[in-house]
Amino acid sequence: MSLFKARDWWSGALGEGEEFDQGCLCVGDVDNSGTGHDKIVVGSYMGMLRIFCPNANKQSEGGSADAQLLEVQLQNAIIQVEVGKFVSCSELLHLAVLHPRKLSVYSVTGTAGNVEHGDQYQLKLIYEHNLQRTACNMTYGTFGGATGHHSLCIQSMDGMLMFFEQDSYSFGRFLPGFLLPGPLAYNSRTDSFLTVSSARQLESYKYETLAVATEAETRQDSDLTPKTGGKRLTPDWTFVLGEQALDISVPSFSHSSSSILVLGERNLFCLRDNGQIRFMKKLEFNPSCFLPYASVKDGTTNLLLGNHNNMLLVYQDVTLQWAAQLPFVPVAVRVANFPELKGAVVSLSSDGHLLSSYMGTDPSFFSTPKVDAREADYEQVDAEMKKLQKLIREATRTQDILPKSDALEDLSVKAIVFPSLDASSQALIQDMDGLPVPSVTVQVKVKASSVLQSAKLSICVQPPLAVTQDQFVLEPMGVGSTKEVSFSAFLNGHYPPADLTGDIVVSYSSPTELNPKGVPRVLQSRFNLPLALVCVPSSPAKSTKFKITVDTNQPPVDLSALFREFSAKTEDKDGNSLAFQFLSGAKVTVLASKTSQRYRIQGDSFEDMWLVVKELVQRFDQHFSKLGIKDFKKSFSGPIPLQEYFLSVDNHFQLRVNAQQYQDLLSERAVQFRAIQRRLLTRFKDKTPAPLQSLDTLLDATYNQVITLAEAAEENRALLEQAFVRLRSSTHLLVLLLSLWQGLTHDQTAILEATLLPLLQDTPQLGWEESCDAAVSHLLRSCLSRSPKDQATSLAQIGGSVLSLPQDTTRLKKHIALLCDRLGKGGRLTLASEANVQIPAQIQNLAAPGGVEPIAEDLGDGEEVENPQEMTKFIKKKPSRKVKKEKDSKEKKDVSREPSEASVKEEAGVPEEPIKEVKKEKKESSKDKKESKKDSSKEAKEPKDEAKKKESSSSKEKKEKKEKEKEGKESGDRKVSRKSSVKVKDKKKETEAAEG
Amino acid sequence: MAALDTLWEDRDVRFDITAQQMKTRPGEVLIDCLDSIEDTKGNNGDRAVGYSTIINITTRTAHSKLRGHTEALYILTKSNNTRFEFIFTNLVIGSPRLFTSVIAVHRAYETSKMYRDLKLRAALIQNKQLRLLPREQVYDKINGVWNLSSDQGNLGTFFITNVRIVWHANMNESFNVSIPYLQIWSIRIRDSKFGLALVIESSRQSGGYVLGFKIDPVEKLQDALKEINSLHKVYSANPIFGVDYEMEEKPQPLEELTVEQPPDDVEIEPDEQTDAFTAYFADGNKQQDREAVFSDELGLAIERLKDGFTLQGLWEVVG
Repeated sequence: MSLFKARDWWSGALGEGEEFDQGCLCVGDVDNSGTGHDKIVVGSYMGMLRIFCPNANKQSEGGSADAQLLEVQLQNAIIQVEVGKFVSCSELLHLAVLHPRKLSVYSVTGTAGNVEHGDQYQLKLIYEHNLQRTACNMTYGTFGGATGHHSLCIQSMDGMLMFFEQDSYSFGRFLPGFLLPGPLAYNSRTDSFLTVSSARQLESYKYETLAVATEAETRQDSDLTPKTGGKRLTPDWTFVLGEQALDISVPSFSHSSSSILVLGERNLFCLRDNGQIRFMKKLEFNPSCFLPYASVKDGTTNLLLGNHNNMLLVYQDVTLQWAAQLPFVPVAVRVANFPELKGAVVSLSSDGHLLSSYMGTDPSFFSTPKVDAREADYEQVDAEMKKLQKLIREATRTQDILPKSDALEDLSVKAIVFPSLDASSQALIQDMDGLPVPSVTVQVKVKASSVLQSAKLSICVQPPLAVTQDQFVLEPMGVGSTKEVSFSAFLNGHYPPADLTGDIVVSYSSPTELNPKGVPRVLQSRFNLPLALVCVPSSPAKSTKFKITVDTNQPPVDLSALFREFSAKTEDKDGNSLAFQFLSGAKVTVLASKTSQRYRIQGDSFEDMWLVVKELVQRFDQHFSKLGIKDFKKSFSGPIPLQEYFLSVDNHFQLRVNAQQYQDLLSERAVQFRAIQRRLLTRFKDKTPAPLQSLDTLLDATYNQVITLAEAAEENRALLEQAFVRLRSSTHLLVLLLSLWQGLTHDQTAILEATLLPLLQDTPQLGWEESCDAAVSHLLRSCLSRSPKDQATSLAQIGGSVLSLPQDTTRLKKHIALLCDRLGKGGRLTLASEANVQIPAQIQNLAAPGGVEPIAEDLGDGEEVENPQEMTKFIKKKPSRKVKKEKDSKEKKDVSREPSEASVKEEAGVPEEPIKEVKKEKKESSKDKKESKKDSSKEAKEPKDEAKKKESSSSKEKKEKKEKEKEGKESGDRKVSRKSSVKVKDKKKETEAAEG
Repeated sequence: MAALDTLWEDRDVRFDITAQQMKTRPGEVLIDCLDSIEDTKGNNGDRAVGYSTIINITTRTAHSKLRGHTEALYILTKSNNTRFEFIFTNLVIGSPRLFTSVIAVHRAYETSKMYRDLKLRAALIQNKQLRLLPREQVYDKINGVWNLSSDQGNLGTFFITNVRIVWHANMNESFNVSIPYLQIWSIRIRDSKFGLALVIESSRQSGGYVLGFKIDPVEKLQDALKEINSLHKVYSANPIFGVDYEMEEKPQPLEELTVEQPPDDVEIEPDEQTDAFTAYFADGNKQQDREAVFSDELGLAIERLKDGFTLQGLWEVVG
């Protein structure tokens, strides 16, 4: 973009889609007005001839009509217009118009009227020449030194120069070596013609030479057989340009600046009359036209140069003097003098924009000018911004879309299990082996504290327990409204369940402001069914297969007092023994030692003892908390009855293998069946019936086989279900025993439970064995691993092979045994890897049986301390507070037990510590070197662990969040030990329970 | 008759026009409605372009530069010696509609000026017959009409059509005048030194010519006046501007897009001159060019230099 612009003084758009080119513009006092002022003559390829006398003042008022002096539609296209003295015996200027096949010379006369629009102009044809050859361009001048009038020379498209002296044709000459016509100019100083030939050289032909050269009537003749009458035509001189020329101009302003100017496609050449070069200017643009217009300084030539970048450049020889931007690409440019303006630049575009302009002298910088009065109203914009931000904030606020907090529940669910069994049993199986199957009624109270929509309540009990109705659809509830539903629970199978607890799930949606449809929410609650539902009192059995002994630190209690509902039938009056007979037939006897503080549970099957042991432990806790004994402790001295446990594992596994086999067989038979069917079908389709060849018998047999197999598989499935329940029972028992044995905390027990009971149901695709094995081996590799190195590598190997039914249970058994072994050696169950790095070193020193918390905590690191607890929270599906509350209120004794237990442990732990230290010292001295080595390795490990920590930080984000919350609650007291934090938590629970 | 004289739509560049002014005038047709056109130069959403529609070409026909630069449409206009430059960008990338529509309509406009501009000495007559424009019909041809623009007068012929009145000299076909009804300010019969004459005054924007014609006898003169007057009225009610443009692909019928706007009865006159147009000045903060003078230094006409400036100095600063 240029800095200066051409200021339009007068402009016009000519014609309707007409086309113009180089020769179409000329200026001159064509009407011989005598004022010396120029008129603009424009001819178009469409044959329109126009003459203008620009008048700037008029135009500013809007009218440009009278600037047009003449407009005539001629028959043929106008190639070139020139103004000169073309008529003999006349000094007046005439207009020569070159058409492709005609040259016409007109006179333009004006007759003045009273007003401007009264002036009339007339175009009168003086003479015309019809051309034999198609014209390309023309030039005029005083050829041969003639004075007073101008002759014309026309170059034809095929290279003939035709000379006309006024109304007579002089002669014609072919240019030698002609291919395409180039620009043509006449140099009056040397009386020669200049053109640029297809050889890309400037050629000068003297008029004299042309005149005496061979008469060229036909082109071929001139080249091949020169006639004797004339000379062969040769140029006076040539100059190699090396490019095609757009135009040639021979200005004659003064003698000192006589030169020939040639505009090439890329260069501007200036030569002397003898063909010597004066200068050459390399152009940095594509020129479109040029015009030498004056010699302002003596010896130099000023010229105008238009280019395809819409620029009009003013050069003084090779120096750029000025530049102005035009609104179009000029194809022709002239300088004209008008009455009001001297030295106006007239330019013409190819589409007919005629512009008479002058050079602008105000530089224009292309910056958007400031709009002062239109300042933005900042207050208004600010207000709008705030409004929008508020909207965004509201839309993204999670509190509204998601539940705000669990501080205020929308709903409370309370389950009441009736203390006595139903008078008339609701059970589907009325009696088992002669024993009546009882049922118990459970009542669920749902109380809404806000508006609820589409609430659904579902009951879930462990198989083979069943309920009379497990789905309830509740009506939409208002604030404070209460709903009650009740159902009966009973045993619906010939084996005891693994758990007597049942779940209540309420799903509902609570509408919010932004979400009128309601946010779906779920609330869980839990209830415990009585043991009496699955067993009846019986007489104690003396000799049994399995025995479990539980130690306590309190004098024995009267079992009949503990189990009042079962004591009725017992024959033992001193309450030393109690027997339970499950409806399924198994009998479990509980014996209390008279001398020691031990209790023995014995039964014929390992898994059936679980419910009784669990009940016993629960009732012990309740009993002693009722008595106000805080330091009640129960323990299991071991060994862990793994062999017994493995029996149920093997049983379950065998059934799974069977199921797999049945499946395979069934599919095999089915394939066979279909193959027979296909054969039979082809037989039947056949037009010529063939004997069936006992295929029908085979089909029948296969069918029977399939049915039998399916039945067997179905039976196996039922057995598998039962076996799984039994397996779960025994696993529960194992977990309980392990926790009693090692005095595991609640959280550790939870981890253990999650590890050993990963599934609530097992499927052919994913069964208990493989998932349990994966979980156990993970524990063995991570927190229970012997060396921190293993731990590190195990964490790296996350994501092993696909879990599938193992070949046998040896591996699993080995792992479980190893787990028990490691636990027995003091392994601490935790999911926080960094906390355990230190363990292996300490295990050896501090491992002490008896369930004493063996590890001295690094008190400086609160996060570490709290981690295990938080982890278990995370692992275990955290029941909502309501549920917990309810549970707490139900098991009030259980709750109050926990702090007492904890405090007991703590009290026990403190005095023990010095002893431990001593022990430690002793052991350390024995393996001092080893220890130091380990320490160093441990230290080396620590940075790594830090990195690990970071790596696993993403997975721990949630944890940490919780911890932060916790930290907030504990007002930044980071030095709280795990024990005290447990305490704090329990106290909190207590207060909550009290509130509830 | 004043109704026609207020025709500004094709002659002027106006900013912050009212909704009433935005409406198309009779004979003006909404050709295309382009949405999402960004006015690159002005920022504050002016009325003239804020509606993001191009209702008609408001470029001064005297000087308009239409040039597509990548996706932008530059319209350089000149109105009352002030140049405005508009840069419109079509926000729909790759849509050539802005260019095709505007440029084509502009071209149609440019090539149909005969309908709207008073023409003198134009190539109107061929073989004694008027060269008719599309949709133009000759209603009457009156011989023996004297043009009173010169002392002796010129005998010629009247052509009265549905668009204009054309007179030409019988002796010189190039001496003629074409007066579209659009540019007629008044027609009346007035006494002159040649006796009663039909006087047509052209509008100011066309140059404010006063053209006198004498038709003998007077009855014929009266008839001619009556005819011209009635045709003028018809034209005023339903003008033909000559811009016929057919969309090659019409997005939607016009009726569906047209929203009837209740006309504002009250027009609030702005207290002060708004500044919206300043953003559109083609040359920075300059409203008018200075007058042209001849520079001896260049040998050409230049814009008069400001005091204390020399051409050389100005050029050297730039160079």
